[in-house]
Amino acid sequence: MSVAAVAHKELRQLSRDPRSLMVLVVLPAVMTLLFGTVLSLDVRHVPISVLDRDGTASSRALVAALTSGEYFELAGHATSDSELDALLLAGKVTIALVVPKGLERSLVTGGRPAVRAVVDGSNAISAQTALGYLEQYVTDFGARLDGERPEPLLSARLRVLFNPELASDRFLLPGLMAMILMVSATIATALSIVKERESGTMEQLRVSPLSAAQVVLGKAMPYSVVSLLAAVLVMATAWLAFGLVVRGSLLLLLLLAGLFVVGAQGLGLVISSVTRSQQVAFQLASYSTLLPSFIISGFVFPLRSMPRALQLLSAVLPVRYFISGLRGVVLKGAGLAVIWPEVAALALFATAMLGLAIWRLHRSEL
Amino acid sequence: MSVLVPLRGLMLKELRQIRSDRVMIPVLIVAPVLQLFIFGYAATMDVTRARVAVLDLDRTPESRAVAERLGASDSFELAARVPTADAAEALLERGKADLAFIIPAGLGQAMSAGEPAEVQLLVDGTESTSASIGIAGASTLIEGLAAEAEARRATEVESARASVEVRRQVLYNPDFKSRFFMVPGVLAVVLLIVTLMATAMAVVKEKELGTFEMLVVTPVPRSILLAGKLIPFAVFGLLDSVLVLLVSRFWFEVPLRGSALLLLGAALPTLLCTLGLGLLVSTISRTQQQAMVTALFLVMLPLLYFSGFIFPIESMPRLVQPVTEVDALTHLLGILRGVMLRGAGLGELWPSLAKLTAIGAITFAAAVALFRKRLG
Repeated sequence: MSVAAVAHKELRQLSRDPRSLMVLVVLPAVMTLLFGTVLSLDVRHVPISVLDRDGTASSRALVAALTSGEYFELAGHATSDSELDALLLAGKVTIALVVPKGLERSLVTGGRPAVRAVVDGSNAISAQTALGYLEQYVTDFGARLDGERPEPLLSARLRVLFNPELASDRFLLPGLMAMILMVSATIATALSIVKERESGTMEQLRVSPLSAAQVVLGKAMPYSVVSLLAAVLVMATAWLAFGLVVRGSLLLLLLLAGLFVVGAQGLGLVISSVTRSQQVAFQLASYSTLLPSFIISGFVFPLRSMPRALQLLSAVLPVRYFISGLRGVVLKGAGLAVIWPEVAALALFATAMLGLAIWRLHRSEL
Repeated sequence: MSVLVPLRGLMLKELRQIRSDRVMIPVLIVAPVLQLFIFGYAATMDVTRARVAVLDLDRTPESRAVAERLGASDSFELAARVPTADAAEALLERGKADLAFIIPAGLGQAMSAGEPAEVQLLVDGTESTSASIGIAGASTLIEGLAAEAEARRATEVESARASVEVRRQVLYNPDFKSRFFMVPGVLAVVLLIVTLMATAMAVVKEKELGTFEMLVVTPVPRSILLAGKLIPFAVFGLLDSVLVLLVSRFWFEVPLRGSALLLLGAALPTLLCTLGLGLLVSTISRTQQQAMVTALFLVMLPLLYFSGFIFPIESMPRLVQPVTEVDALTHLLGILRGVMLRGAGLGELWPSLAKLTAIGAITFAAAVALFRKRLG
């Protein structure tokens, strides 16, 4: 009953500040919309420059074949090697292609001419992928010249599951959603507590006949509802603006989001219990949520490529389980039978954080 | 001279305030280095072995050769042998395997009879980048097996086939280490957090405490007041940058091929921009809470996302690309990566430096103007 009373008080406080409420509910969705537009690791429009020493119909056809798709964009023809080097050094092009003199003649006489691709490797992933596409294009070009080539003895029939277009934004969107929710939920609670302490009303709560558990749950509940509302809005945005369709059960998605949000509130409470001023609470909240949820959560960088120590560190982060659970439900249509480990981990984290917050408050450190 | 005395006093006051805040020092010094370490080790997209499940419905020497080749390959790891196609799909759904080879019955027979055969390849497309690389690896492996089978069958030397080869030459980062690309970005992030966030917070805090009023009524000119507030954070920003640069150079062995002086030249206009933004945030915020939310969500995250820090600008929609031009970080990153990785100099990078300077000057001027207007 008293949990409800604290929650009621908290809700009234929130509703008296409609601007903050708007920020908490709407800002995550706006962020999703804003950042969703740039969220792509697909390699597209890679700028290339060509030095065509052959200048024949064949060499022109090769260049035309390369730039016909959306992978490469011709940034211009160069006239010398040094011009290509300068373009690469200035970062104007990623690949410089040199077509040797005598390409056409060699092709006609059955030779195996080679073109030279000079690659700026500084952006490792883009460069590597672009080079792969380039080699594929050039090989295909050669094969087309050959006309009737017998079918190979062994070939692969490809079926891509879950994300047939291999679009990186499908994979990144759930991560972005999790990151935004984690940050906004944690910061919101941390600030609400510190604010209460700075304005002295925390003392009043403490001398009231409420138990620590009642205060903590009463504080966490309204913010969890607000954050859950924000989560629903974020998912609706991802669906409406970026066509991210949920393959699995919406109810399961809500369960994941609910557990995650409660855990984030709990973390916010714990953070505010160890800090004294808003500034510090904020710095701690943003370092402990933003950085890990960006880097070691599997949002962008695959967890399996990381050193073991960081993998272990990420195992205690709720955002990691939220992201993989979201991906499971949204992209793969996975059910509880598949993602129960994620659900269990999130539940465990939420319980632990709330428990810790209650314990801290009980020792009147909140 | 008369101007420098109050400036010195103000800066000392600021430093004392920073020192008295128990958590400021860790945030200003320990956190940037910690960030670099986490980033340096975690921000890697270097591909590990893809986990493969194999379903062999054929059980002939030819089909076993596929599995053997997979096990021996550097790009794959034989994760499981499954009895049915459903089991293979279930492994992919659970994320226990990245791709599955399904070898149909009759493959060996067909191949020995010289008829074309097909292996079915199931791929989990969720992680699109590693999935593409896995698909490319699998295709190469199968092409190799096909070529060997054809070579075994060929009774006469085939006439040479027309083909064009690609000779690759990779500059600047021949081993394709993604760390090289990411670490210069951390330098930018550190500058951003330390200067922008700390300035915004420090000014608003003083506003909240009411001590700002006291400063304003002192006979010290406003510009000196401002300089005394901002310079200490600028110095911290520069010190942190040097620290991060040293760690990235000597611990992570990220090259520094160009001139360190040019890096410093890029850091100065960036500082103008970040300090200006911090001042701007503090001017429009009444409370520290507002300043935090504004600085993080409306300034820092957009600056990061639109800068090409992680998500390449070429891949963004055409409509969004002009936006990246007004982002100071875009140009700072261009210079950092250009100088550190490619060894580019002023001759190549002056357009970025010019844009960065313009953005910094305009932002700072606007912030100071607004700040003075609000004060007066």
